[in-house]
Amino acid sequence: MDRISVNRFSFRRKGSHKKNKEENAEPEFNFSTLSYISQDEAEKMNEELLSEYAFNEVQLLELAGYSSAVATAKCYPVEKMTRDNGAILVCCGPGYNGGVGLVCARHLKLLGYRPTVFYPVKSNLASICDSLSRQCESLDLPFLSYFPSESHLIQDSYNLVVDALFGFRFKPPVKDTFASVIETLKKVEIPICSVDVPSGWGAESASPDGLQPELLISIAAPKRCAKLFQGKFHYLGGRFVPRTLEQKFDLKLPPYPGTDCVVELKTQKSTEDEKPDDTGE
Amino acid sequence: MSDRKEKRSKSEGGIPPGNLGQFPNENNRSIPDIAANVPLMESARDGQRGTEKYHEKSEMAAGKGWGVAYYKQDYPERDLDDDVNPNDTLVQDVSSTAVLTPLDDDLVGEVKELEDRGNWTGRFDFLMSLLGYSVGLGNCYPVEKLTQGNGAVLVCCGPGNNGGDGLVCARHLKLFGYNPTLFYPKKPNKPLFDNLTKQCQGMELPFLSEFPTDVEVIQRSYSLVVDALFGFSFQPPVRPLFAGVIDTLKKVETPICSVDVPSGWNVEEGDPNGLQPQLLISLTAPKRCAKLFKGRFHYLGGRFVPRALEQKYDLQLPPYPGTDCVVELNTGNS
Repeated sequence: MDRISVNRFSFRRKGSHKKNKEENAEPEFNFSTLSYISQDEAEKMNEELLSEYAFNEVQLLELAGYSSAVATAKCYPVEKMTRDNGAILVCCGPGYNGGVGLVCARHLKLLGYRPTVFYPVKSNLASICDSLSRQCESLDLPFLSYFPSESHLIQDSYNLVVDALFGFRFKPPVKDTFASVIETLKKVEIPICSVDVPSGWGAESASPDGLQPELLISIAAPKRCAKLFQGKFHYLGGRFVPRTLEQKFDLKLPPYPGTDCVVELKTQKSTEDEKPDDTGE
Repeated sequence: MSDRKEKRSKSEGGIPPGNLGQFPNENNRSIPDIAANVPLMESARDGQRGTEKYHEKSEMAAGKGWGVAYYKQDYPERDLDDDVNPNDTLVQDVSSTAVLTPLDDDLVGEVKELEDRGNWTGRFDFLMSLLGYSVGLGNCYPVEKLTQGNGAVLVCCGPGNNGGDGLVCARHLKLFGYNPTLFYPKKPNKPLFDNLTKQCQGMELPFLSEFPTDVEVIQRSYSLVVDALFGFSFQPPVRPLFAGVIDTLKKVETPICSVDVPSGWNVEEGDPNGLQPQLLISLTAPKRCAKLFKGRFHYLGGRFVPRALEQKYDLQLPPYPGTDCVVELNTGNS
């Protein structure tokens, strides 16, 4: 970057400012260079955000959950929902992924949907998730006491399912309580939106025993397993990664449009004409 | 750690704004780290972490309250298929026959109760509304259109919660492509503010050691000023340090964007001689003094109010369009 002298500080040096978007479109991000991180890197990044960068878990969960809700809303607008005024089933696991799901449910409610939460196992993130579930309750979100035993029950009552059961820390196999949940979800015909990692997959690879979501919302950076994602929509959310952390992990990520908290990752070879509503300019 | 510090002093764009008169070079630290230099405020409520109060205890005891104003009116149902300019649906008319709530010591108590029960996880949910603030600012002053210093923004943070809001806002603005510089002379001695400050440092945001007293300097260096000095719990008098800052800001021509309440205004009656921001973003609900706002843009941000609160206090708030976290309020100002 050119050194600018004090006297000329108010003058704009040719080419030294950002190009006006209307005049010169920024070069399109090349999605073949998109970074995918390993489970180890994901853990380390998270650890650094909480220590070096002094973020609080609650902040990160909030931003991640909010992005997940926005991405879901973009792909599945509430006006297009046919069942029960935008009814959605949000399945929350026992760990951080579940925490993100609770936040996501709350924001989906504020965005006009009618989420129902399934949250069977309070995690060892007790105080955080406790508050998060209370917030859901304060918005009148119902909590299921047991999981519907058959897939058609889910299909009949809900328009889509948010899968926030397991995230990047998960290692197969799925244990008892959740094994049957995942088995049932595998059979539903309504779209599934997975937060960060399709549940049942590990962070590094797909699993035939896991879910096959239609929408995947990667948080902060896509995990390696996302390379094997076969669904329709892939979004990146969690717009909180500081530049220096990106550099440290050598992350190549597309720019977020304007002030949006999500960006579509055009990694899917979708032949659909129906594109999600993109409010970016 | 030291690597990161070096990277910070070689920030993009040459001289970090506010340090004029000094050429950055390898031997000079261009911006002193504020954490090292700033005397910290004593806080009587150090034990309280997370369950941040919005109000000072002493202010409550003094019996003074603050109004949460809302604008009562019917919002006509607007079908987006109507033959209407889509932009119009974003602007909600604010009725001139606004009905104001009586002052609610009750509201204060209730908010604290909710916080204690863990419904609001500390201030973090509220801080999300700062994302709304930053988005609103981004809508009104898109970074590509700013001319001074690559989207340079001066973010002035006061000694309380409004100041903390400014820190969060600055971080979001950086992610949106602006170049914020912080002025944060009085950080409270609490983990929340320590962490918010550290987060800003992690985003490579410089902190000024002193406020530029020359109006020209501010105008040349920054395209916008964010006023996050005082919020709705402000009680006069303003201490001299901040009085000087406000005096200077009153003279700059750079657009000022206030967080929730223009700093120094009486939260109910405003202040005709006070700061006149161009953009006001009310968080959660407009405060009574917002009726006297004469600037160009008034937005409502922070669509995160639980319904229980909304109903209990009969907050009549316009709907947020789509997935947006801000909605423009029609001020009737040009």
